[in-house]
Amino acid sequence: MTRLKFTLAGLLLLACVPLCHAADRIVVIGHANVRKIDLTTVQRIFMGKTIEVDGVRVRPANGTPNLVARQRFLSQYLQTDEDQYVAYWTVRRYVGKGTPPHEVKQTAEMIEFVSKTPGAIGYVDEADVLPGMNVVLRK
Amino acid sequence: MKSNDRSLPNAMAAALMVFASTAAQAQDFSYSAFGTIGAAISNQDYRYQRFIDSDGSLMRDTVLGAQLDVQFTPELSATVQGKLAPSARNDQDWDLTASWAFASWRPNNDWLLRAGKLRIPLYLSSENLDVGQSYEFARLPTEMYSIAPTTDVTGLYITRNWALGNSDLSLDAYSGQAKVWVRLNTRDTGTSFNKYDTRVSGSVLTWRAEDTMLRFSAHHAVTRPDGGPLNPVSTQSITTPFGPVYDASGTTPKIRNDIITVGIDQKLPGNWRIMFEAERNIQHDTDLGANTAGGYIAILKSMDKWTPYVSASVLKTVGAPARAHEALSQSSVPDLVPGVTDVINASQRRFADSIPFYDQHSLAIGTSYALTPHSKLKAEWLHTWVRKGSAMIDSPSAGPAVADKGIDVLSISYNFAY
Repeated sequence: MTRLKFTLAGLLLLACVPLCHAADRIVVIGHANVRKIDLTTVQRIFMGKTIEVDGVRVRPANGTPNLVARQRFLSQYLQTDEDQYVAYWTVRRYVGKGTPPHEVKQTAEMIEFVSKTPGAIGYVDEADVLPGMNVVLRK
Repeated sequence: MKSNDRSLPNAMAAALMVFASTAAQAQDFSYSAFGTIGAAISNQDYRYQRFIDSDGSLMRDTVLGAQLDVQFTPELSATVQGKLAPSARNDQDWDLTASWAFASWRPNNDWLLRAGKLRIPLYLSSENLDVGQSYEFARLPTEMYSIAPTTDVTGLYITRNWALGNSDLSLDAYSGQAKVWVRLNTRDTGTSFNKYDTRVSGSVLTWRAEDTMLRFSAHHAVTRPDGGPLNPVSTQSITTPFGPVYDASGTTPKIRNDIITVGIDQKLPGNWRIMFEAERNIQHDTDLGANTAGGYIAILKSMDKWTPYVSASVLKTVGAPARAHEALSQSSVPDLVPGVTDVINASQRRFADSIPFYDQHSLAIGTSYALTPHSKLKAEWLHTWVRKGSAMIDSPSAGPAVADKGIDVLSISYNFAY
């Protein structure tokens, strides 16, 4: 009996691994008028270097620093962390080259902003992807 | 507090009113603030870099500022930055000035046009010079960052960007003008500030990759006195009953400068980083102006929240102004007739002191400590060796100009940007 419980617990744990992984994974979403984009373009958009993709003016949306998805996005897509990202935008703002992306406080707000704003690009946890949502990049 | 130039606060107020009235229509707007509270003290009684002496000063490094960015349309935005800092017109007051007030038009990924008042990218950290939070040095090396009395210019700026895979190349071209106050300290007359009108144009080529930034810039400036005396052109030897001395010869209504700068900022494995900048300021039209070569090299090591660094920098006046300064520094007559010869010798001292002469090099060891992503503490020990003299020093009124001396400066500052 003990062995059966142990085996079941092990199987449950194994089943959880891909679920947990999926929950950690971030996907990039866009407004309906945004086409699929590559990783370099996402990086350039969130660093303020690219403002237009295929003739569409893009409007990136970022989570506020307390949003867990933001930290995952910075790590998975921009290969940076909060301190470096803030430092980058501190310099960029004060060299007169623009301001950081629009910020939202929670995932629901991110989804609403992206769905309603032409050219908007944001991100959500894989688990938060809804049917019909325009996923423009999935790593 | 006094205003630096009546038109600047007025322009700021007008710009803010326009911004306030249009903010409701704007797509997006954001406020930000920055500042440095910095203290510095030296081991010398005379002043160095305007404010630093053995009494200590908050005025050398302290600055407070705020910035408003308004996005009117996806292509059109505007930025106003105001700052409170020690006056450029005198050594006592604090002035509220508009560092930036410009409109930006970015029609696509490749082009950026800006019109208004902003800072020309003369150095690697020109534009963010006032925002101590954005760099690690307690004070950017003065030998490099003091070659122009101001880098805030009102004019037109055009930037072309090229995306090159994982790197970017940008070319900035600009043309504009500025009213600048130039500080002059002589042992016999003390400190005075003269106003000049400068027209400057130039171009800057910058290549940025993940770990590297390279910059090359060339600038041409034409400077004219704004109501003050014309600049002398050269020296001439005249004979007095007590011996030969020097006098000014000729005047010129304008002075032209060509400034070339190069800069490298390279990140290295192991969180090391090396920075290098050099400049050559070529003076035309007068033998008695700033004609300098200078630069610095710095090595930084990032260790979690700490970033210690060491930098070595140099600034030297070269060519005709260096020769003129040396000749004038040694020019005096025997003090035979009080009331006559001492006046002659005072004129020689004043003449020598009026040349913006530099012959100094420095070593700085310091560190920054990131309290948060938005704030830093910094501390630095700086040792400057002055050889034949330096216009950054207010030599004591009685006695020879400071030369062959060392100055130690301790600095500490709190920097923030939100």
